[in-house]
Amino acid sequence: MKIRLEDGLPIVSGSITISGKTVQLTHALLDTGSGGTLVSADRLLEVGVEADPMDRIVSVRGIGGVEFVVRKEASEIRLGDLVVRDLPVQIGSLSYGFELDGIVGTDVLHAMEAVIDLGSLELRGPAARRS
Amino acid sequence: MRWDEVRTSFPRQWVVAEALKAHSEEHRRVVEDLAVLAAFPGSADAMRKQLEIHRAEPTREVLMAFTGWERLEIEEILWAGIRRAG
Repeated sequence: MKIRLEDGLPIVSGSITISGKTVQLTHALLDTGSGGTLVSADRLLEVGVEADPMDRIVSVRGIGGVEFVVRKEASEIRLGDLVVRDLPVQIGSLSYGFELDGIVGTDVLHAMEAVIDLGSLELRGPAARRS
Repeated sequence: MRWDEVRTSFPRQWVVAEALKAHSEEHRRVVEDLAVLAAFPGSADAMRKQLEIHRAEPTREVLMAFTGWERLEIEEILWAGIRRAG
């Protein structure tokens, strides 16, 4: 699938399924600098996904403050043809001053065996990997 | 308020609370003193409230938790951030 460069950042579209509900992500950042994957709490609340007593909370400390996020199991994460199932994701505000509804971290990209081709601006699966 | 006191005062509720005293140890955030800002029977309202406070005042340490949890266990992750081209 096509990668868009927005403000110099690699952005893709995709979807995530949590608690049987699927949310479309229109601005998901490919971020190999993030070990984990984050999804917008606002987008999930819109479709009725909320925290439950089985979830865990995680403190994310960084520049400009701290944010407590909820960790939930995603049953499916899809970026074009690339799909992974049953991976934990964090649900947070994603308030960075620009439009972002997900951050796809190395955990998901590695599980997808993704190939990020910044020459042709394409995200591919392992079948398309060049030998 | 300590977590056990929050549990007693707000049984089986989703609370939005500010960590007034907390420290980090071994990849955990240990909260010693909490001020409850709001309490809800459902988590969606608590999530919305927490988001609202976090966006208005990101330096405040505001969390959401379920008082059915015996302990307030919080894993800590460091976040270096995202930089746009400039």
